Amino acid sequence: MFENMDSKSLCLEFRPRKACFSKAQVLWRGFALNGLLSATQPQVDLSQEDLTELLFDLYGTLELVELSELYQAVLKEPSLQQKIDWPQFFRNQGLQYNMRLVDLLKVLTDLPTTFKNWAFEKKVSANDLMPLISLKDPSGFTQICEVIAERRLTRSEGKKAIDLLVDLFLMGKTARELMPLDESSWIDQLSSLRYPQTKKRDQQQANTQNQWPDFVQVQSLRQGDRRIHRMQIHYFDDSDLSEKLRRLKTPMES
Amino acid sequence: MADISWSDRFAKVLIDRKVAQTDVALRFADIFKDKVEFCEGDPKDIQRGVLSGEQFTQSKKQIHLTEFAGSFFKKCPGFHKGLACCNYYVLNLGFQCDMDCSYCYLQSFINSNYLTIYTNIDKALDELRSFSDSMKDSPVRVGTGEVIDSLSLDPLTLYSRKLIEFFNDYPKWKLEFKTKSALVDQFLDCEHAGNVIVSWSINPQYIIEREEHGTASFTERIQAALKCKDKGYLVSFHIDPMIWHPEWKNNYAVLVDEICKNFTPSDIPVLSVGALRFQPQQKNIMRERFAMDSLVTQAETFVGKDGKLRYDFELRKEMFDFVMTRFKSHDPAWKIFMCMETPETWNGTLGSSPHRQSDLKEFFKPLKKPDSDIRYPISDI
Ligand code: SF4
Repeated sequence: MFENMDSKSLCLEFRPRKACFSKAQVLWRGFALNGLLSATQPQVDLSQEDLTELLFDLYGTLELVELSELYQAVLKEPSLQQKIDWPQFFRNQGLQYNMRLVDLLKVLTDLPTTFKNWAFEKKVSANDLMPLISLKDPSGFTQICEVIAERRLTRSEGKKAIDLLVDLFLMGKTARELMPLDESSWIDQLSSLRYPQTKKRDQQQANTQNQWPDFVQVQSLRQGDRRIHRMQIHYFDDSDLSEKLRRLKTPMES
Repeated sequence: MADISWSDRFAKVLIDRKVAQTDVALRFADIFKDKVEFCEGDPKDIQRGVLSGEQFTQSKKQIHLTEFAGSFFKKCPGFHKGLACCNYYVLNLGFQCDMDCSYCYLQSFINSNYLTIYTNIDKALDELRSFSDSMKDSPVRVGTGEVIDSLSLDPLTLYSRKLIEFFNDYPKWKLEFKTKSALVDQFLDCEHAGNVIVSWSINPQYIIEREEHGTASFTERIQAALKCKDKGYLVSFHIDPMIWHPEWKNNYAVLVDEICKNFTPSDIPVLSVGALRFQPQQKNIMRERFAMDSLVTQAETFVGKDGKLRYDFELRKEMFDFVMTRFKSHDPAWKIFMCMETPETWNGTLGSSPHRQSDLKEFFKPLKKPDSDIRYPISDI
């Protein structure tokens, strides 16, 4: 069924990051849907097919970044856009079509390629990136997005960082103030900026902790909405442990 | 009602043709005149699913009158493992609220760009009647303010009057209106069986101005509560959500003092306090709608055991302690409980969980389930 056709087709400007399912160039009503393939590819005309389903057949499940690129590419072609059933298109992708998703896809388009590559690689979800839609002008956020990519944050670190960064950015912090200060945890640094009062209270309470015997190390940590203490005891044998536990019960004597 | 310009408050009123002849629809048609349109079933421009901030704001400005097809009753949403629950049944006679609090949980819940009002209240009353045989002498409590304010649109629907009248036949049952409005005049003349609680969620004026847009002022709420008290209605206050701000101690002290100046512990059988809490996903829409200009979006919140974002545990305890101590300093007889809090907070602040507090036990007694085939929970949303 493949034919080599000489006719000049219009191209949908979309290149998925993984391979397309068709080795042939697929034409739909004069549009090469995977037109960025080489011009020497065989061509197949599938104009009778439903465009929404055809795109899914061609590209399968896409990552969010690819979806934003495909969405933008289709928006640029009114004749294609009119024929797409967007709710079904996103349902095929396991997503619900709504304005928030659309807003997010638009924001994503303008973010730096390094960030998009990171988001693709980490399989970042719409939920993870949703804080970005609160940014009225995402261009000021570009530099920050590059840092997220450069530091190769994991998906969950990235999600946490984006939430903190968007809050801080909207609170008036400049991109410069939000840059990592050193190699230590950027998220801790951002948390201190975002939660100054809690940080201060945690610190005050840590300072007023009971004096523990020198054979224990106590560390104060935040676990959700609670501050917890982690205690470490080093002991040699059972009798040493019993003795230390006894002394722990009366820490002031130690 | 005369001094409220209802017509300016809404952009559009859409009436489902099949309910056009109900009392409620006729009243709306009369009040909103040129803003009224008719539709068959759902409005043509209805948007379903997750709403953007803009769509959510729009949903507060356009009303859809229709009938509710499912069962009206479901169990109180507070009943989750690990959370203290104040057991009661919820009656939703509409969906969405015309006021606009920055912290409102409806922001992550409303899935239509219309404020819906159900016209078939009689069906809800029939459902209640259907389990009256097995429950007539049980302490059934029915609350109407879960996904729509109980009273802010009541001068239009007049549902309070029907409900109060219905509850006259069930003196052991309790009907609870929950509101942030001051609209009570429309039912003050009703005969009642002393089983109607009008409860206000209340905050200092400082918070009302910044976070509770379109609601009644602190003074208006107190005045409305006094009117209810004078007519023999039970009154209650929920100091919820407490919101931290630099002046919180002063402002909550004034709030407590004002309540104590106007009411005695015997006027108000139970007071509750709760602190700011919301689902993490709600943060996105709040940030989108209020940026970081709100004390709620700015709040230093952390994920609690139940997955909701809350203030630090110690801070919550400090806030609750402060309010409770202030009440008790006025009169030790004040009874205060914490809403939607973990047993640890109860234990830390009251010394034990509500089930062990003789004052509060009655309000937390698990209710007998009705024998009828009403199912819990139902979900149309
Ligand atoms: S009054 Fe209640 S339901 Fe209405 S917006 Fe405020 S919190 Fe939401």
